[in-house]
Amino acid sequence: MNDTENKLNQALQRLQQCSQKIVQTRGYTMEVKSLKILEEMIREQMTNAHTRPATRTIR
Amino acid sequence: MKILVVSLLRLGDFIQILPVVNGLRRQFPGGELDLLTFTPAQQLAPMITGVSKWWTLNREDLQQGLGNIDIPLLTSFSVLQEQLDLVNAREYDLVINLTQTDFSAWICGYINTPSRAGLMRDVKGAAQFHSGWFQYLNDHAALSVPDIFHYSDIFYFGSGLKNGERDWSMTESVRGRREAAALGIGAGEQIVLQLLTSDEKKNWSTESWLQMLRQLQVFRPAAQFILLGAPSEEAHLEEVYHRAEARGLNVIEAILSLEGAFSLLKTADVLISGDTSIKHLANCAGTPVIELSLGSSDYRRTGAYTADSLLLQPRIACTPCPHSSACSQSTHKCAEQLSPSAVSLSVHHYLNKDWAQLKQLAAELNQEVNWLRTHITGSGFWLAINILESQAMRLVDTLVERSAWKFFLNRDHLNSLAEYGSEGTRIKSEIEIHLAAADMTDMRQHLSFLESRAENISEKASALIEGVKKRTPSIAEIRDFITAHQPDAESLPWLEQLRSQVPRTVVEIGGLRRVHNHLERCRSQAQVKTKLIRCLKTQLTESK
Repeated sequence: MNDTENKLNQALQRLQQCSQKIVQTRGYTMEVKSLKILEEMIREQMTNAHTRPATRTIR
Repeated sequence: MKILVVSLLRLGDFIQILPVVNGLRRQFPGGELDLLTFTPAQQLAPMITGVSKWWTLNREDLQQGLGNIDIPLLTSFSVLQEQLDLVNAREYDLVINLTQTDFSAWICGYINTPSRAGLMRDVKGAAQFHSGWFQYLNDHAALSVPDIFHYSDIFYFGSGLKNGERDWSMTESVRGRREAAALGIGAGEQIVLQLLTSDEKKNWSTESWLQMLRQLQVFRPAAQFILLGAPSEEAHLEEVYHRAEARGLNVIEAILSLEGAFSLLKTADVLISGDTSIKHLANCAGTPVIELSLGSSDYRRTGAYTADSLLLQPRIACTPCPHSSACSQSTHKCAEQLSPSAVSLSVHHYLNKDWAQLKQLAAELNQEVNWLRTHITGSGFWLAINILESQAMRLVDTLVERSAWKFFLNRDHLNSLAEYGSEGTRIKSEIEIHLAAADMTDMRQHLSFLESRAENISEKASALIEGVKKRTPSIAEIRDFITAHQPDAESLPWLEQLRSQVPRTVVEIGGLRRVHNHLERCRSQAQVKTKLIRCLKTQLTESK
């Protein structure tokens, strides 16, 4: 994994921890929604695909 | 009424939602219809009328911001959040997400609106679909599903548009007309070739294209052959053009914008293309398509929608392959198996409207290639039917299955005056179009078999539901039942959880509720199918 991907991976983990803490303390707020959007953007960037498989099962 | 339609995928995916956009405009004539897409889709803006506001997200800029370690991580996010706050300020009455991705689900969940359709993440982060159609899309996302509606149909019905003709129309622009006119194409037959797709796996080799062209020019010496490409494809097209010239082939090179491509297609007699956005643009132009379905192309989901188009799909076990994976074979087998002569002969017979010759060709090369003809059924959905008609009963299965799904997903079965009779009439008409008279006796027997099977499923589902209600579910039996009758259930995560907890002594309430709901769906679908088959059998008997 190159340096950029490492940093993105670390950022993703920190964001996931952040959003979990917010959910535990304040429930699902707009901040959590914002963080989730950012997480998803980073995830797509890390796979470096044009887009992840366009249509896939969401769980 | 303010409506926002969200399509956060690629250009071809966006064009496939055009019937939804046109349909919503027709359904809400005084309303305001807005779009949210990625930037490239806005190239089509001059040709799509009736849109009040077109929001775009610049995906490349956003991702570059994230991928560049010199730019603060939150920069891209701040840009996105500002845009979404502007979207929220519009105060939409209805948001429809026609994108089945997590990113779009979070985006749409962020937008405040009283009514929703399509995949969205709710306040607790759970995925909500707001329509049985989008739930169906989610459950049928896997490549291995035996049958699935065309995405355009799923989007149309999922958006609450039930009937009416699909309106794929776009408006030709002045710029487009000018670009096409500058090519100096004369009167006479025009055959347009879109050589490249966005994915190497879906491409046919240049050598194959050239060989096919040479043969086709012999068959059709008066036709004009136009190599179509975007400005980004100019280098490749130049190379092909020069190679064609060196072989004495007479071709026209057409590097055009989307507007120009649309104007060109409006006068074309046929487009030969892989799985590309240009193929969908041809739908909008009313131009028939001969589609070369290679690599990850799944014609069932995204095939050329225009009726009576022709799809050629090589018979290779690995087709369609996963979208984002490299080719699993040592050579590009699917492309190699589609011979230039098969394509040139197909185009020639197709343009002569000689389906008898096409059937003969298909019969000769049946081991290598599937020949499929597109058709819009009376029930309002798209089908691709093997022109050999060698599997008549499979077609009957598909027609009955699709109609039953449509009834169920539109919740028509909840209506005490549901139109089973009318739907039966529509299925009967389709059967009479596609099946020879000789098949009809076999078909009636087959319908009795389908009816009996549907009744068994309904009874079994009822018995299992009783077990669930009494909190004594037989997990193994439920698992086996659902796996047998809903092959896509493999993807359902709760079924995996059930499998992993054996033996079970305590069954969680949430899990029980999901099992119960799924079994109810199975039972309702089976009951709908039974009623449809009975109506169909009655009508077939009456028409004897």
